[in-house]
Amino acid sequence: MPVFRINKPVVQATPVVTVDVTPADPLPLGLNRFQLVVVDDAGNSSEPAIIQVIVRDTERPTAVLELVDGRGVPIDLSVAFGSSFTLSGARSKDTPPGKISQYQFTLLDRV
Amino acid sequence: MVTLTTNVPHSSAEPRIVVDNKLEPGKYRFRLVVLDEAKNASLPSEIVIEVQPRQFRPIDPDILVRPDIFIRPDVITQPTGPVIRPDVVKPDVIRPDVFRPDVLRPDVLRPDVVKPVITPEVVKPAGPAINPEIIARPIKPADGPAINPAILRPFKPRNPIG
Repeated sequence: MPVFRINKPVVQATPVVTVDVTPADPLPLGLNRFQLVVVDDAGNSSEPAIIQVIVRDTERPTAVLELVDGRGVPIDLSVAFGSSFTLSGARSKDTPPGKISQYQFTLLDRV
Repeated sequence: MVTLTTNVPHSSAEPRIVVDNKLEPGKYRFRLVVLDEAKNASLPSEIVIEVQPRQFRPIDPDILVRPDIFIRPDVITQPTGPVIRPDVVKPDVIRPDVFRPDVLRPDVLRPDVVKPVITPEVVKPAGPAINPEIIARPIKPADGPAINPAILRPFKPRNPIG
């Protein structure tokens, strides 16, 4: 059973993998990204394919923060110097029938 | 447009905000917490956004060493990049030999005036010469032989019909 660690590839010869979680080591709530790169028998690597998995909180709302373009489509986490940008929490969800009523955005300290 | 203050949450009823902070190049962490109608708060969701360094446009050294280019009318009216290249700002079209073509030479504009010489040619009439004195002189009866009215007789045809 493969164990996924952040930024550590899991390499295997079969195309399907099961992401198992345990109560002691769950996936974080909110947005998680998984990347796949395939390699042919000549050693050529593909471009990475990325999917996003949102782990929902069943008792509280789940916040999902993304950087989006003008149409609301998620983009890479990079902006040009001096340009404005859009933060979106549109994919945040609450456990039905609850609804999100407030979004609190915060700029934290510089990394 | 929202200007975020570091470590101060900005509350909004809308899921999207446009951030217009003038951030220096580097990486910044942003956090979102959502609340439902029952005031239950979510766990924070965080992303790290990288602000790219400034992009400086390279300057053509010719501009720095040849400031006289800027005061030339042809450069001011055509300020795009290629125009300021030396081979473009001195095109053949401004050479004197192009602006002063042959058609503007004084010797072409002031050609030699040839004065025409008109020499009438006397053409003699094909017939006999006419003495103007004879034409102008009136004919007088005295010039011809005298006519005796008694000689004048009515005309009679020599072979009358019938």
